[in-house]
Amino acid sequence: MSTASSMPEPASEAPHGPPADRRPLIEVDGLKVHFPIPGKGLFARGGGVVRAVDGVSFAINRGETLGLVGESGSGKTTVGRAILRILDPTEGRVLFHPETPRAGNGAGAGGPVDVTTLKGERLRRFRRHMQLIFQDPYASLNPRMTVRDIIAEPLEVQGLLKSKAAIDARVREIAGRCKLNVEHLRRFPHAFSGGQRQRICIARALVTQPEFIVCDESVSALDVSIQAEILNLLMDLQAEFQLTYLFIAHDLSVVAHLSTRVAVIYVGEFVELAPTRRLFFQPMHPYTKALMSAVPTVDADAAFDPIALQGEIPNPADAPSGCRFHTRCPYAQPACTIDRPAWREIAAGHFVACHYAEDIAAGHLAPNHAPGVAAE
Amino acid sequence: MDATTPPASVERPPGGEPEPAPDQLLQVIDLKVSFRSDEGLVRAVDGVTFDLAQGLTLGLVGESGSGKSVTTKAVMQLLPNNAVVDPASRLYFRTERTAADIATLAPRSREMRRIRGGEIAMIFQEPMASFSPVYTIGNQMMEAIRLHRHVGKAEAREIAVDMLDRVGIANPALRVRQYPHELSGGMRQRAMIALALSTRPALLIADEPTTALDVTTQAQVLELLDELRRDFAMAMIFITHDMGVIAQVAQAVAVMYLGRVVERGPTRALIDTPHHPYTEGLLRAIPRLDRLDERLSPVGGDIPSPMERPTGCPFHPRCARMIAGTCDTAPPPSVKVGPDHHVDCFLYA
Repeated sequence: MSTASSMPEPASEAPHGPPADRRPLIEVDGLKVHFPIPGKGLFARGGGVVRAVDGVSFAINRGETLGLVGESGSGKTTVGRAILRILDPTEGRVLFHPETPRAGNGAGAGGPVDVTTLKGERLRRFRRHMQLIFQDPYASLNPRMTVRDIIAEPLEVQGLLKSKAAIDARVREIAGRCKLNVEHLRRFPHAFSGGQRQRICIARALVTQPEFIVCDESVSALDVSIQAEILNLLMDLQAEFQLTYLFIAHDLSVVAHLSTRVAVIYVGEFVELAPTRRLFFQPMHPYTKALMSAVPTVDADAAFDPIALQGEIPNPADAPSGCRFHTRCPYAQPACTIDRPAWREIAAGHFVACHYAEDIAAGHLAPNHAPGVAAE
Repeated sequence: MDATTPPASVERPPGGEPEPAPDQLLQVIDLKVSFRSDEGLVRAVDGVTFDLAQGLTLGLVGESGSGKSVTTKAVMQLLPNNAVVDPASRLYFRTERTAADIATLAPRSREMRRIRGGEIAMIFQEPMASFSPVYTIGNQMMEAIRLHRHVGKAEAREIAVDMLDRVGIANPALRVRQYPHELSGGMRQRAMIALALSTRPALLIADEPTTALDVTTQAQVLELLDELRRDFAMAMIFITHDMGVIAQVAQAVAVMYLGRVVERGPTRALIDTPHHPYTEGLLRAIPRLDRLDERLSPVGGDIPSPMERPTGCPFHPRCARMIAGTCDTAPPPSVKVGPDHHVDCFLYA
């Protein structure tokens, strides 16, 4: 496979969480998702494009959780949805390596499947391998269906199990794993709390026995005391079913807790990807540094001294030239406004897109506009 | 809420009429708020007591349904019409210009209108909730300024421009002529703060002002609010569900659960030595960067609906240290466990 050399290698050591077995399940290569902006008038064209995701490449290893963080509008949700083919990518490939070739699952005979080329019936049948857990457990459940029917629906749509008895047995089993009991299955969603609803969503996502799950802000709407329970459940299910997660969230502490590795996205481009501890405690990209410094913590010993960034996140329809972060970067140099930084492996498993990452780390480059910091 | 109720006719809590303390800006004493609904009266706030000194920030933490927003809306007299405030509730508010029990003022009285927006201002999660889309930022700020301060139009405009500049909005002279939709999200948040502070309130109530923001923007807004609090010698009530944010902005914390303050105390003391099982549980449930390898310990069970308020201590159905026959029958006593540190729990009685 020609793309393998550009793929991030897994970390030499798993920082925490379940050990990944270091074979990629998903390989994303040069993924772009552009949305056209309609021009004025009925047939007008040329209104420009929003480059929501603009060329990202990464791999997600079997059994690991890849965290994806970024600010609103950075494209993190779009990445997840393009992999799942809820959105059609403009360019790039998404390779899915099935565990074992299964007849009629759309995966063909053994080799990897390029998800971006699947169409029609093959795509529909393939969807059982990849599922999505949404943010809002109040909006994503049909209020007129019983919990049993909600969980069983993907099985029926996919025609995976024929007899009602077999479907019932599967639903009961998966509901049990998600800590729902038989009594719950007869009820309607309105009778449940936020945490219980999210467990229903998880059961529904797992019922087709997928290998890959995208969790898009899956715990963000939950109260703190409930959120912990869902995070623990997600980790337990991952260990039990060897699931692979792409975990998208804006809460950095939550992402750190769940992820084996974490990627940072800024205006449609990855700026950094590293094993979790490395990314959080030795960030190399100035944007990641600013992001990490802004996490409010209850830890008494950690000084809260956020790095102030100028301005706001740019509009992806009018992304800055060169390095997209240069308009806000405290270390920006003339070259940053022109050259797009390469996505390079700066240490084993640690990828960064910054011309001056080493210079900044070594202290050779002083911030341009940080009051109180003397330029050398 | 009913100002005509003679205070003498209401039953007093043991100990007689609570006295307003001269050194506190706001004292909330035994605040009880219910809502009339189809299913009868639903108690949302059930005896909340806390106080706030001048110039300090109190963090009000709680999960959904804990009553934190209802409490502050009662202080602003902004409760909806189906709300019923228990007549024994006391909301003493004291500044240089005011010494009043807000609970006895009519919502539309001259005094209350002067306090609301003038001496107590409020900001929200959604900045568009504070602005009308059809008037310019400047118009709306000038209206607020002229309602509460005796200044002319030109001077009000000057104050508005100064205020926008003060909250870090570049080119404020242009911004006052713009409409809210012309500003970016982060800038709207700043404009909302400028609008709220343009009347120089003694107390700012911030209801989850940073919840919808990205971390980098949140950090900027938190720093700005703290700076403004110090410069204007203003007190703040900061409502949030994020303990991390509380640790950074508040000097004191009140933890609410199902309409009650279960624990209150100085921020550091409360975070380092939480006493109430709920506070402990909440702190253990938060993923922390300094404890990445520890499994999270959720608070078991679900938050009960306010319609099915548990008897006794509201937390007892989820409490691992529940004392059967005690916690489920009587309301827990308020116990002092440290300087200004109070906990409502039988474990310390």
